Amino acid sequence: MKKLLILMFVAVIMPLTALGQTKQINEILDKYEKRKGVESIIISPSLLQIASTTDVDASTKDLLSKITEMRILNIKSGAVESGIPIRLSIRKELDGLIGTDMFKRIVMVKDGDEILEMYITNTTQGVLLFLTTNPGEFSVISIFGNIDKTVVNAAMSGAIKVK
Amino acid sequence: MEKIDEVKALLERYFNAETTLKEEQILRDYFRTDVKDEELLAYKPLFNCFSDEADKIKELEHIDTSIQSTTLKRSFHFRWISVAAAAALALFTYLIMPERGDSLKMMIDGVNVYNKELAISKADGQMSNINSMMGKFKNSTAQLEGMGKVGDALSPLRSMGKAMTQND
Repeated sequence: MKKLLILMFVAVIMPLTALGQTKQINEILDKYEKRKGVESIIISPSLLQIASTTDVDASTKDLLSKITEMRILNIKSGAVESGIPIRLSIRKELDGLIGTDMFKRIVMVKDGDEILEMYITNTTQGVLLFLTTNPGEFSVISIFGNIDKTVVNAAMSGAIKVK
Repeated sequence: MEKIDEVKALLERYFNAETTLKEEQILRDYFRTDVKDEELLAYKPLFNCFSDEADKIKELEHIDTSIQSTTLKRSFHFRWISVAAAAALALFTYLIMPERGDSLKMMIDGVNVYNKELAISKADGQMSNINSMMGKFKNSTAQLEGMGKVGDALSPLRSMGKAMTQND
């Protein structure tokens, strides 16, 4: 009976922990996707492709099977709600999440006015998050799934493309 | 009175080990009744012991059957708990990660836009931008690696310079 209860507890709690970060990111994206001045795109892995590069050691099929979904949110700089630019509100919420131990920043690239940040979750079953900031807009590109080393390498090699 | 005589005769046959099973049953049945005869009363515990034992065996058999049925009920109960847990987990997973039927979904200003080409074009634009920035990062890393290699190439010169200074 005890074993059964422990098994049930683990079966319910473990997915919850693993899905926690994914859920939190999705909640933020869901919250802002319906606002004026915001564009939201959800893509299934069937519309993605992995360009073959020397840096990517896993096969394209393997990599794509690890990705469950991709979400893009573009927030125009002029999008304002209650006098506050939406890009600032969402950035604040995202900072509250990526500033925790659950995320780590892998790369930050600054090219002129444009800044690209790349974050991943500490658990492999999580999110690969890109934040791009330029004077025109702020974008959140999130790739959900089994974000292991091969997926991160593919992303860092610029190999993930849309068909 | 006849009965008592019959029982006494049977008893004698019993102790001589001459009774049949049927006759022994008659004796047991008799001693289960209210025995008044004092002579026969002494044998009552002997035969009642057998019948009591038989009763107890019957009782035990009944208890065993009820225990078995409880165990069966319990295992049945646990089986249903595990089925219910699996169903709850499946439902939970469905609720947390609802299957997004659409392979592509776009929303602009809170309005659903059913334009696959536009959505792909926008997503492609974003990924191309990211890939281009990543390309710059790779170039910078390559440059750093190049600097490292120059450093490695210069190290023999450095050690030569050190040796020459010591000679001075």
